Amino acid sequence: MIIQTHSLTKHYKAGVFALRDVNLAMDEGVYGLLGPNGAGKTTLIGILAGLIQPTAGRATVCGFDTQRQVSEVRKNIGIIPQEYLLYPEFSAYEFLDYMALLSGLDLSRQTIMRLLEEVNLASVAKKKIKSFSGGMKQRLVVAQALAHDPPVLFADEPTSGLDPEERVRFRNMFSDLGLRRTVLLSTHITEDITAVTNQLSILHKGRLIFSGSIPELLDQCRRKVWERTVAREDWVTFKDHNLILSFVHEAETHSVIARYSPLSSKVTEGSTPLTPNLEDAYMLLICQHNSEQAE
Amino acid sequence: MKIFLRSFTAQWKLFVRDKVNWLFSLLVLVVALATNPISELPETTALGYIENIARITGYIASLLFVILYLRFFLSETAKGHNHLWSRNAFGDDYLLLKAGIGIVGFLTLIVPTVFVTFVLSISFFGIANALSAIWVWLLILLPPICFVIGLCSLIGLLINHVLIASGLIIIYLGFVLTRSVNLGNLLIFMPSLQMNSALIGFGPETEMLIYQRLFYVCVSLVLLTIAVFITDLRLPRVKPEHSWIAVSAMAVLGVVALSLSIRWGSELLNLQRLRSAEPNLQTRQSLEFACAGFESYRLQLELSADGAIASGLAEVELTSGRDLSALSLLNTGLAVDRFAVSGGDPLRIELQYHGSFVVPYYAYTVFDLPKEIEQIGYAPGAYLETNLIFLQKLGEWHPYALCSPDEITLILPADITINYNSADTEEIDGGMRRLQWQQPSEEILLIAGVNYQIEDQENQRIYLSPDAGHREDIRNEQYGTFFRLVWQHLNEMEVSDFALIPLPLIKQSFLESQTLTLIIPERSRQIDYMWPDDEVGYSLNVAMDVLQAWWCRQQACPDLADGLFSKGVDNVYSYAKGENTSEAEQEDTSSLPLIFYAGMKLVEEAEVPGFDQEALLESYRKWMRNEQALIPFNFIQEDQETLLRLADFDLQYGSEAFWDLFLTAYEKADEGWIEKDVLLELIGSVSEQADGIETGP
Repeated sequence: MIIQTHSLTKHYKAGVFALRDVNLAMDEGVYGLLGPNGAGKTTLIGILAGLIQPTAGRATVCGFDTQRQVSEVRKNIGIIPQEYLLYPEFSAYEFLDYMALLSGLDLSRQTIMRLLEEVNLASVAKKKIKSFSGGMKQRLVVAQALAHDPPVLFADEPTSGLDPEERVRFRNMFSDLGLRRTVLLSTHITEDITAVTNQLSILHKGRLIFSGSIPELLDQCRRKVWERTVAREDWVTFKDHNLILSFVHEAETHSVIARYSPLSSKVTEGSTPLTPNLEDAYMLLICQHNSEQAE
Repeated sequence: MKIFLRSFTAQWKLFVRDKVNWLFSLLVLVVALATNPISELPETTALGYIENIARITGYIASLLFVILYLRFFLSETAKGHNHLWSRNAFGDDYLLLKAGIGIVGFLTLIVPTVFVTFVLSISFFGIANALSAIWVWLLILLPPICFVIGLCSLIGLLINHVLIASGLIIIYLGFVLTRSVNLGNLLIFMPSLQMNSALIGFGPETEMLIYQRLFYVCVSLVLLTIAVFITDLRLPRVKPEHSWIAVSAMAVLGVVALSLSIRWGSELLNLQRLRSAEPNLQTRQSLEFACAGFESYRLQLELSADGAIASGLAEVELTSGRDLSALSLLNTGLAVDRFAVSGGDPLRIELQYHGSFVVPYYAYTVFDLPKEIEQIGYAPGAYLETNLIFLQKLGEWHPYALCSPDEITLILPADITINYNSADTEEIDGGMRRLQWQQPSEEILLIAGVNYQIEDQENQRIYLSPDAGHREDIRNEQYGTFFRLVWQHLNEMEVSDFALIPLPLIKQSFLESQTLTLIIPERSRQIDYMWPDDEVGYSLNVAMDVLQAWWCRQQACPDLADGLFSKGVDNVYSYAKGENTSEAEQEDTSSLPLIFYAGMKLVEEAEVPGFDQEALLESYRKWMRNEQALIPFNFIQEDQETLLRLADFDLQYGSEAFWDLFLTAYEKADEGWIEKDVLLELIGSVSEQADGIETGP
């Protein structure tokens, strides 16, 4: 396994767990790490990158222990961070060169241009970063993560804030990168996952609540997702008895078309069964986990 | 190495492309030019000009560069840059690179100022002088900038927040820069021009200044070493695999820098501690009582090659009936090695001591001293440094500074150049020179050291410090001119042979009348700075100083000198409507207008260009009428009247009558002061006498 964690736990203050007993195993390819904000995704990446020390448990990357063999781990990873700072007065080329130098790498011109080509920025290599769009900046950050050609790439919310076109471009780029690397794509956007991978793990409140393939997850939700048209006056009562996954108000008929999952075993009369998608499965899993914790 | 150099270039580009940094550069240039107007250049020297600009630049840079450097330094340590720190090599030489760019970047930013200054220096002083003065930039600016960078690196790493770290460092630097902190200085972040900051040392290379520079450079290295250590520990899990060579080099650097910091720091503390010259009012007042109880007081002193007191022996015999109560007045700068009491009545005391004695700055003469000290008069009596030894008979180099010794024996290495001594006997034995005084009558015992050169000019010897600039030459020349005139008018003879000794210790001149030696204050450039282009005021100052030296030659009258120079032409012109701002504590200060008017007469007689006595008197008349006028000395109302009365008298009865009046007034004065009634009475009687002569039968 390229990435493996064993009972990984991290708590910052007494009672506040960022990660709790997380066991993961990832091989080559793209893996999705899904979870709401504050689920512990960034903490997990921090531990895997050797930036954060776990409270308990251990993790390995490419067979190297992230605590004891940090140096080896770092040789094998690249990070695309959620927050980043660029140097507006530098060109894309200068920025990559500088980042590489800071890492002790003396990249050739060809290598830098190849990296820029990989993220589709070769044509603007000499332009200053201050003239770049958000997506271009994000791609430049990807290029800096690839500067030392690492076999493992951690991407922390890389598509947040991008327009649809740029998001599609990013998804394709990650698919390509996953062909010969292990890419851990952390996000809370389910479409990003379905577009690039079949493998995902879901973190919620520091716990790993699912790890496997998307079909396995969808299988768990079969016959749990329904659709029903509800009269507007009954809508409040309906909402109380079901988990609403999505809904649309119908102005003409004064009704609401709801995609839902019943909170009890009883399905409301007049409902039609639907094939669940990843978003439905994710919502159901989170809801189920919340209910279990409440009990 | 290639990576290091390429990283260095890349970081330098990053630094200089930041436009905010160039605002700093512009600000430095503007302030440097505004505080040193081109119109004043003819009045100064290349060294003085560049020194002033470097000093101003140093003050501004020390404070503002903190923010620029911290912004740059912390640019990769912000939270969003964690990913960088997950790189293997990142952090190894990060801090050293940043510190290096800090220094090179700063030098880059001051290029416009250096260029403009250099061009102006070449135009006004010639290329040779400009080149010889350019090293001052590095000498003055590098220690504070190294210190700022070291401090910022350490505090920045600990706090990792630009604004908070900048605020704290600027407040701290404000304290260091202003040294004697007061709220006003801190609020405007502008130290007094008269004060030498601990951080930005300038002036001649005194021990204190050299130690200070070395101390700040070494402390900067210590701070950087600690910062490197913290970088390893604190920044996100950076634990690079250092080579043993790098670790050893850093360890050696750290230990050496720390040792040297402690060494220079302790030297500095020692020098500060040994500033026994620091006036101690209580001791000085009590000394009169102690001296009265001395039957005899003998001193033997041995100086080491560096001018420190290697050993001293004071032998005191008390008058019959006196006990030891008055003998606990030892100066704080001197350490007692042995204290032995023998005899019954009278008691005999042997006190063995050692120590050093340092007046740390050239600009000593412009130190702000407490009012009480100003009035008492503060002549520390000694100046002992590597290159300069100066001993007065009364001074804090011996335990009972104001008690006149009956016998002094001074032993010092024979290779120390003696410029002047008043010893009765002198012999050299075994590489040591032995000088002896019996009942020394002269104030100056010894001036020695390679710093002083003796020049003979038209029957006058001048002991010149190499640090004295062009303005000093003019001053010295005028001292000679005015001294000749004073002697001619008041002693009614031509002065044949006299000596001028500029010394950095004294605030006003004094006259050793037996040997015709005029000890004059060696001014710092700071005082010149207060006289932008006013040769007239400058000459008036010298004339008054010579007159007060003559006036106070037999009986010290320091409060008169204080009255003359603390509010008079030694400061700045008053330019306002007639308001009496003078706060003389002496009730009757009629001596002031008398000496001032006599000074005006000397300046007129010496034909100082630009001086117009009638125009100046007209200004005083306007002032009296409450009109706006420019006057060099802001007298109280009564003294203004006296001044104009003296002018009328002079106009009516002539110069000879005035100098007769001056001489008579001097004889009637008590501790330097003459009462107004007595002076007016004198004017009346001299007038009557003169009228009698003119209109007599």
